[in-house]
Amino acid sequence: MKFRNTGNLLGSIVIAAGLMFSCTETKKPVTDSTPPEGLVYAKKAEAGGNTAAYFSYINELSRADTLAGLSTPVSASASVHETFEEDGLKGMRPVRNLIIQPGDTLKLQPGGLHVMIMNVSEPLSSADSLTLTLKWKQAGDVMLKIPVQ
Amino acid sequence: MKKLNVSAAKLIPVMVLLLAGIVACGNNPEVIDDFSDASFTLVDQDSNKVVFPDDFKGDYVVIGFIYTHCPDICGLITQNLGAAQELMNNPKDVEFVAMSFDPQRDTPSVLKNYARPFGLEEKMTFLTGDSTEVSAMLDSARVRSQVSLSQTNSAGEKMYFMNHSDKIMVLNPDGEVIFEYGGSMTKPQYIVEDLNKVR
Repeated sequence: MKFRNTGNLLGSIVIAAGLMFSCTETKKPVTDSTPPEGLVYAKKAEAGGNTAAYFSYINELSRADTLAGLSTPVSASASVHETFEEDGLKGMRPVRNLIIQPGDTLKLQPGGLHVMIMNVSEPLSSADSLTLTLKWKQAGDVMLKIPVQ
Repeated sequence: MKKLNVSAAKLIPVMVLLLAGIVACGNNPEVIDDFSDASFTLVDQDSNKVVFPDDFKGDYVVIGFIYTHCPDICGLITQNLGAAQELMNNPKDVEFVAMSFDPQRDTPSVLKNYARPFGLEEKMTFLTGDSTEVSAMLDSARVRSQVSLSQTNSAGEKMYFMNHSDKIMVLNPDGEVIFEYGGSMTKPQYIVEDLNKVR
């Protein structure tokens, strides 16, 4: 098959591609969620509400370490959970005995691993910070001050 | 290699058509769903009756779906709704709404308490209602939720969590859904950009 007018063919392709692009560009079902490096915060919450804390932690030891637990003065219930997607639904599940290899960075970030803090005893506002103690099997207790936003 | 000889005169109409296509599609986005004939009787955070979408007709509606016991995803959805509203400088022709898919626990007062730390209790509409009516509305919006994980909190109360759709959608003033987004991970700027193309 011969095309006599390549100019018109080119034009048609450009139009088709242009229309496809212009008609679909506004749909963004899911976009990237890459948080900035060093993202550290806990979400605001009313007393009795639930919240989540996000931070990064580097294992500076020469051997693997395991996060055995967490604690915070604002709740008796703090644990690591991960958000997952399955069958088009987002959900959460607990992650126990989180292991981090030497030199690796553990990243807790929105929509992924996070510390779930339930039934906070006092309101958490943007003027506050949250104290979180990580209980590592090797490194021992590590205390973090996490700003509330 | 053979060269294409395309004259400028031939390209001008092509470019005009291309630009027209971009403008036309930007201003008339595809209708994804239609709520114009639907009517759901719900309540807001102040226990006022709200009929959706009738009470919002004539305005654009940006609506996200949440439950207040959710520590991660739903807070992000709520933040995104609030951030989009702020980026648009609280526009009069756009209503921002968060609707609960957990009406059993999310009573009006619970929704109001939830909204307070976000500073949104007076700026946004939080909706809940009778379980049957809420379910009907969620079905129409193709929002799914199911109870998943149960856990006991520090007060000894059994709490449940839910697996759920992660969605924000935009309705035009006629009650038609014209944009949908992944609610927690969409940048609020994208919602604002899309709205500004059609308003």
